[in-house]
Parts: sequence; C-alpha cells; structure tokens
Amino acid sequence: MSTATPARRSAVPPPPRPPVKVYPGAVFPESSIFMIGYYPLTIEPHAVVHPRVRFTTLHGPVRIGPGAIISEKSMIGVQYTEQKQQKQQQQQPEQIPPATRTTVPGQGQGQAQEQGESSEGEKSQARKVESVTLERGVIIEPGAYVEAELVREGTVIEAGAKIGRGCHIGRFCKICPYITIPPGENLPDYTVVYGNGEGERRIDHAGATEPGLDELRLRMSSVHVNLLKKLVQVPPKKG
Amino acid sequence: MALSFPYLYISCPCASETTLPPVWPYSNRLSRENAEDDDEEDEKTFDPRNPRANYSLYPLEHLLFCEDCRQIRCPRCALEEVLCWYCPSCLFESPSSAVKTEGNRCTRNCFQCPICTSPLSVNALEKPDPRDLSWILSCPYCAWSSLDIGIRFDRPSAIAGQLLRMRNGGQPTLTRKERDGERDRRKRGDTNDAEEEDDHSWKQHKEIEDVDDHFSNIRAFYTDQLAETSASSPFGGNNEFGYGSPGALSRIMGLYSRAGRLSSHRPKDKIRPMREAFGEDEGVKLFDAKGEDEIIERMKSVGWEGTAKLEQQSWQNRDARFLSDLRPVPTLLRTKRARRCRTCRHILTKPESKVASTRYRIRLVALNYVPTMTLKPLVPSPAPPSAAPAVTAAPTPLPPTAPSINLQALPSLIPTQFLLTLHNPLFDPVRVTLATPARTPGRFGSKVTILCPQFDIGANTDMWDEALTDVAAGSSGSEPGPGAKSRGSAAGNQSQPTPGAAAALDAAKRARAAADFDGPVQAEAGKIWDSGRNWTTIVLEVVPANLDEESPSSKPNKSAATNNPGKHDSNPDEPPGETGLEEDEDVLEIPVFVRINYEADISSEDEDGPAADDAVIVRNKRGEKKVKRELAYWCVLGVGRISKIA
Repeated sequence: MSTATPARRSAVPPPPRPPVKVYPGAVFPESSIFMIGYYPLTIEPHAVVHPRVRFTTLHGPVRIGPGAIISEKSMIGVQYTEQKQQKQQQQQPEQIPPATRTTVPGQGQGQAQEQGESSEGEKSQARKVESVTLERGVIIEPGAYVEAELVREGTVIEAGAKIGRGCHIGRFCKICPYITIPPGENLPDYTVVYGNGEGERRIDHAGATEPGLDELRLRMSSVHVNLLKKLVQVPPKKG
Repeated sequence: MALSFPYLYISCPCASETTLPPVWPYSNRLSRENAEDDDEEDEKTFDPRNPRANYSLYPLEHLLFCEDCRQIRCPRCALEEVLCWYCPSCLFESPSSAVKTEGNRCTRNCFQCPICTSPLSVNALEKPDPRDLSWILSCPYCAWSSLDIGIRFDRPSAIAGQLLRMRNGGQPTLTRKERDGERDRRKRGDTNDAEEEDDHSWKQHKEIEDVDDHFSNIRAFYTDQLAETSASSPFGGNNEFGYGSPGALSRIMGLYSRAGRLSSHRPKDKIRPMREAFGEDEGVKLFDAKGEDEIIERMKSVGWEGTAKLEQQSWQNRDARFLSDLRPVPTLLRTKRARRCRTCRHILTKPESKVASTRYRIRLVALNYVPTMTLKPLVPSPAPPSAAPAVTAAPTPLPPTAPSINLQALPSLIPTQFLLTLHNPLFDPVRVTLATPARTPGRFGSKVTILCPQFDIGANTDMWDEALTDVAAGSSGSEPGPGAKSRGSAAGNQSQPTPGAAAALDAAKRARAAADFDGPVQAEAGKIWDSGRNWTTIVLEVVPANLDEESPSSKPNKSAATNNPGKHDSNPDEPPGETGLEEDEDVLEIPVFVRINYEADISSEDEDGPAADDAVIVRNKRGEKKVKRELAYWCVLGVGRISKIA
C-alpha cells in the first residue's frame, strides 16, 4: 500500500492494492487474483474465489458473502465507465478518504459503508461510494461482470452476464448467460432473466411458494463449495 | 446478396426435361454421336439470366448422380422417403405404426419447456420424509418447472402417460372408460332421478370440462348414430348401406351421375338420416358470454406477466392463453430419409438405419462423377501454375509490374485471361469438350473464348502414383513435370493417342520453357495450359462488356430471344439502361456446355440386357470390352463483376 497522492497518480501510477480481509474457511488464492482499489475487500467464511478473478474496489468496498462462489475471469466491483470517467477523475481526490487507508483494513469498514448505503438518509453518500455486496450462497459463473450494489442470497449469475452498477438483485434470482442488466435495476426475489440482450423476465412463482426449495438450493451450493475447497488449490504464501 | 467470385453452378437437366423434352441437348440423341443432325438444338444456349434458370442451377455439392440413368439428379428430381422416425432427445426409434396412431411426438420422457423450448429434465423433489418423494419436470435454462402448473409425478419414468392423466393443477383427467361411464350414467340420470348424487358429481366435473371431454362426447355420439342408422338399414348386419360403409361413399359419388338407378331399385326412406348432435352430452358447446367475461377477469388478475406469448401459444396443441394453461411440449420426432431417382426409382442416398449413426450406406453424389471446375485469374507471372488451383480468387503476391485482378471490378473491354481447371473424379481417363456462346447472353454480352475447347483429363488413379513419379521431377518446376508424364500414360491407356494428348505435352513443355526465361507466359490457342494426374488446366479469355452502352452483342441473341419468350429481355424498343443496371446485371456469368466422353469398364448390366441408350460397347486395342459413356450438361461460371469505365 502506497500513499497515492494526486500528484503521484498523474505519473505512472502503481496499481493500488486494496486491504483484504479473508475469513478462515474461505478459499482465496491471493497470488493469482487481480485486485485494484483503495476500499477494503472482504471474503467471508466458506466463500470460494477461483484464480484469475478481478476485483475492483476503486469506488467502494467489495464484500463476498459466506458460501459464495466466484468463478474465474469474472469481474467484481464497480469499474470505470466511459460516461462517468471524467466525473470520477474529478471526484477521485476527495473520494479517497484518508481514513480508508490509514485505519486497519477490515470488516468493520465495509459493514459501516453498507449500513450507510442501506439507510435511506444517506443516499448522497451512497452515490459517492459504490460498494458491491454479494450475500450468502451467491454463485458467479465464469466471465460474469458484476457491478451491482447488492446481490442477495442464493442468486446465480451465469457465464458472461453483465450486471450494471447500482442494481439490486433479489433472493434466488437467476440471470442466464450473456444477459445484460442495465444500471440501477431492481429485480424482485425469484426473478429469472433469460433470452437475449436485456432478456425476458419471469418470476419463478413455484420456486417461491414451494416449501423447502430454498434450503435445497442453499444446500446444493454448500455441497458445491465443499467440493471446490478440495479442488481449488491455494498456493502457500511466500516468506 | 454479396456474391463471392468465382463460382460454379451446374444446371440440372430435369427442369428442361419437363418443359421442352426433345429440344434440349441433354436428350439421348446427342449421345449417339449424331450431333451434326441437331445443329439447331445445339445452338440453343443456356441462359443463366433466364428467371427459370434459378430453378435448375445448383452448386455441385448439392447434386446427386443416378448411376442407372447416367444423369445428374438435383433435389427436385429426387424423391425423398422416410426411413425411420426417432426422437432427437432420447434417440429412440419409434415404429411408423406408432407414429400413425400416437402422432409424431416422443411418447417417453422427452419434453420441451413451454416457455423457452429447452429440453426439460426430470428432477426429484426431495422432502424431509423420504417416502414423500415426487418428481417434477424442470427447465435447466429458464427455471420453469411443472410446479408452475401444479403438476408433480409419482414415478420418474413414463412421464408422458402420467401427464396425460393429469390436468394443470394436478387433478386427474377422466380416462376414456370413465368418461363413457359418466356419460351413460348421465343419460340414465335423465330418466332416473334416483342418481341425484352422481349427477351432482357429474356437474362438478362439468366445471372443469375440457377439449378432451368434448371430443370424446362427440365421438361417442357419432358412433352411436352410425350404429343406429346402420342397424335400421334393410340389410341389417352386413352394413352395406350404412354411413361409414364403403358402399356409402360410392353411393354418394354416384348420386348425380346414376341418380335414377338407385332410386328405382329401392325407396330412399329406407335409410334414416343421421341426426345432428344436440346438447353438451353430445359434444356441442354453445357460446357462453360468461366464459369470455371470465377470461377478461382472469387477464385483469394475472396481468401481462401471466399471459402466454403468441409464440408460446402456438407451441401448444390446444388453447392456452395464460401461463398457467401451458403444458410441457413433447419433443417432435425427426426422420432419416433416403432419396430415390424420380425416373428409375433407384436409391441415390440411404443413411444407415441406426439412429445414432451418421454414416450413409449408399451415397451417389455428383462430386464423384462430374468433373470439378475451378476458375482462377491468370496472372502473367513466371511462377508455374500450382497443382492445386485456388478455389477462391485470393489476390496472390504479384511482381510489381503485374496488375492484380479484382474479381469484384473487372475492367471493361480489356481482355482478361482465366485458368479453368477440371478435376476428374472418375477412374477412367475422360475427354472433355467445352462449348460456350461467343458472347454471353443478356443485354451486355461479354466476349468469351475458350482457348482449348477439347482436351483430355487423366484418370483418378492412386494418389501415390503421382507422388512416386514426382520424386524424379523433384522440386524444380522447370522441366516437363509430372503432370505431363502422367498425362502421357493416361493417353496410352486410351485406344488411340489423341492429338489432344500430344498438344498437352507440347503445351506443358512450352509453358515451362517460357517459365525458364522468366518472361510472362503466353497462353496459346488450342493448347492446354497445364495438366496433372487427374486434372487439366486450360485458358479462358474474356473481354468484359462495356456497361455504358448496350452492346451490339445483344443482336445475335435476338433470334434466340424471339424463340424463347421467357428469356431475359433484350428488346431494343426498351430504353437503354441509362438510368442504371438492373440487379446483378453487371455480373459476368458464362454458360458453358460440358460434354464428357470416356470408356468405362463393362458392367454386368450392360452385358445382360439391352444397354442404356448411351452405352456403346467397343473393344479397345487390347481387346477388352469397354462401354462408351457420355455425360453432357450446362454449367454456369460466375467470373466476377464488371466495373464501369471511369
């Protein structure tokens, strides 16, 4: 972690590395994961992160919930976009609060941010800090691109799907491969988005009403996690 | 449509056979080597711009070849027949009798999602209590499941049967027997008031009545009627004059022509007319405005989300307006098909009957019988033409002096040479005669000259022959190459050495000699350009037409145009195309008539019976019996697009 002043950044900037908090039981092969940003990155227990995942915490903290699976080549975190790039460059100096860097990086910071966002009174702050939170048992498949503010438990985002910034994806949703969700959408629980482009939407009523189906799904993903824990090798840290 | 040049289409003769049988040069008369007789017929050139030509031109790869008719067969002149029916999902073959009775859909466990058409899978729905296990159909893509329509199954097998006995929502449907029983009871209920209770249950059932009930009711009604009217006929049991008897049809057919006969023989009133269906028990459903209101109410409650799309409705085989009405769609069966020749009924292609196999037992494709033609612009460069001519006219790296030829913009009025290579797929050496009109048909006639219209191609012998003889020649292409050698040997196989063969040798020598001097190679009239084991290259010279003025070349075609009213019109009365060209009129297409003569080994058929018309049995020098064969057809070479003079 270097002290990145604006002057320094205008020269060849070294990629800022986010403070990472990995809880025990999580699989996080740190050396083969690409990370950039200032805000903390939190990996909660029993989450599995494959190698070659890209995390961006330039605009807000990223939290990966317990039992979530992040597959390779996916990108998590709010990236620059063409339209906002200029704005963000102006905002950047103010936006990096010294507290983020000076305080010990960790869970507390991320949660504080989240609570700040979820409460309605501080909407203005939420616009500045764009965090990404994946809840328990979320599965992100290869090549997916997640900038959503919140993905709730049990949701599956399939290969190559793109979730725009500021989206709220409900519980047990399914985003089919190569679907694009435009920024700022709110998907209710049990939504299935399928088809081409922005896709067709349907609510899986049966899945919602059938008792015990949710536990079944979570159990399935926990079995998946247990297998991946054996398969994904975490290279030992050097030195 | 963007055309990719050059291309070759072969005209299947079937189109002309149906319209003008004796005139076309495909007729067998030509094959008896009396071509001089039908000069008139020969003059009739094939016009690729004729709208009718679209129906007879095919790429070589799409064509079949009938060995008995010795003729090219296109998809139009081949019959298709179904060999077997199978489900693409479970790969089970279903017998055609089952297809007739049960329809062309899989009767096992194969279903498609009514929402997105992906194949559905059978999944167990686990419960804490293992005895409470049930199965559902679920879509792995859009997460639709049979729970959406309230259906779950007791067993993971024979899903189709279980589904048939269940309505959406899970209530059982009545079987045919039960339906019949109910109907009878209902009928008796009219007379007997004691069965109040049953009547009540019947009424309850009525509320969820569906199409199946109506159909079974109306069928039962007409069965009854048939039985009654037949029984009332004077001949009772033999059913001769009842409805539905074969006699009835002939009687109806003869009602007017032989009206007097029947009426004179027996009185009309013997046959009691069939009564019309009446009432719901007999399958008549009257329009009910209440039903419409219900649908509107339902639309209000479920909204846009709950209604099925038109596409989804069309996949269903009955009315399904709402998502909750949808049923899983059984997978459509597929077929394996054989093709037969329309004229002689011999099989042209026949796949293996095993469903999982993609191989063919019989496959007579034209590629194995008809020479492949490839066209390439002749670039004046010292490099000898390669053995494998490029199919696509990719611009080759050229010396700076040589202008590259862009097939999308051929310069008008500038003679351009092309290399035309013919590959022989047959195992006998063939003699090829090419013919083309001096000017291409159409408003803008381009001048076409085939520098060597008659030549030989070697047999398609073992590939190693060439490779082994090639060793001596080595990599230097300057001496008379392997092509010329094998050409010579091929000519030796023939009954007499032809002048064409000598010319071939000569041309090859000259070409190479010229190549030695690094000067541009000149194509010579009457000489082939190059040849190899089973291929020969000749030179085609084209002077693309001037698109700015309607060329006088349309005049010689005028006589042909008057003969053929369907021809693309070259009417001088029409204003010349100053405003612009019609679509693809600037495309240079050359019709070429190809005639192939060869002597094949005699087959048993030729010895046994009367040989085919074109089979003339001859003896060659060694005294072997050979059959003279001939194949003739029109083809169209698409050369390129002519550019306007700037």
